[in-house]
Amino acid sequence: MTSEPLTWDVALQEHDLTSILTTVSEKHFSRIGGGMTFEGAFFTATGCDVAGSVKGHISALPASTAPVRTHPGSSVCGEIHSPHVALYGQFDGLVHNPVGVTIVGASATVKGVIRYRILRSDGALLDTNLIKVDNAPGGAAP
Amino acid sequence: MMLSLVSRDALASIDTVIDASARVSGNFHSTGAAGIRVDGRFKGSICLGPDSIVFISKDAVVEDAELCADVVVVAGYVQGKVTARKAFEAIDAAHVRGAVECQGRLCLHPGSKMDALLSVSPSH
Repeated sequence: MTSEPLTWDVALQEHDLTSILTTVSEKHFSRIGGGMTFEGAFFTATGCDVAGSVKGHISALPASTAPVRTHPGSSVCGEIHSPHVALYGQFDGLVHNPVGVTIVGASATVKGVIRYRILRSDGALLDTNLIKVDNAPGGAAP
Repeated sequence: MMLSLVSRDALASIDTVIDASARVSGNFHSTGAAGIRVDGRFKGSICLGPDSIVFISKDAVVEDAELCADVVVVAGYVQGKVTARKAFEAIDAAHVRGAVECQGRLCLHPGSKMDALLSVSPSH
């Protein structure tokens, strides 16, 4: 397991999705397992994997680069605020990621709003309002 | 970490984790076999079904909480109400404040501290 910081920009350019997912599979991440339901607010500085069901929001703590990934079969209704987002399950709500990469995998079903800087979708079912934002250094204002 | 009532396999099967950096408030629930480990800070309730385990790690802080599972193991700080349907174990420097209801086995290790109303009954 690599201890290097996540560099999804590089990963997006140089690797396929599988490589990116391997990169974010970090044993110290938080995880909401399949069969588990969580309602509330979840803040983390390391990252969060969602395989279960969430109503509420999941956020990277300020100044952290904590990624958030949802798995096939998962369900999230609410908000995700993170500089690295990968959606592979059902999502209904707001994704706010003005810094890094937002990935929507083929297994994902997404409704709501995605505020993104870099977006990659591989055949997912999207019924969303996509809003381009850019808070990266030197990036354009939203 | 010495555990008397819980197997390492049971701990290894835990698939929900609140990492050490995390600040979480809300409710976790599951009707099937499930496990959750809290390494960070948590406020709220964790109510799990049969064959479930809740593990509160050393350095974890759990406040205003309601914990309900077959097995509850505490190594950190818990303030609130704990219900263990089969076993409760306080290990390391565990500190539990509030109320603990245990149906079945109970083990309080020497380093642990209980400031709690304790109710123990045989498991059914």
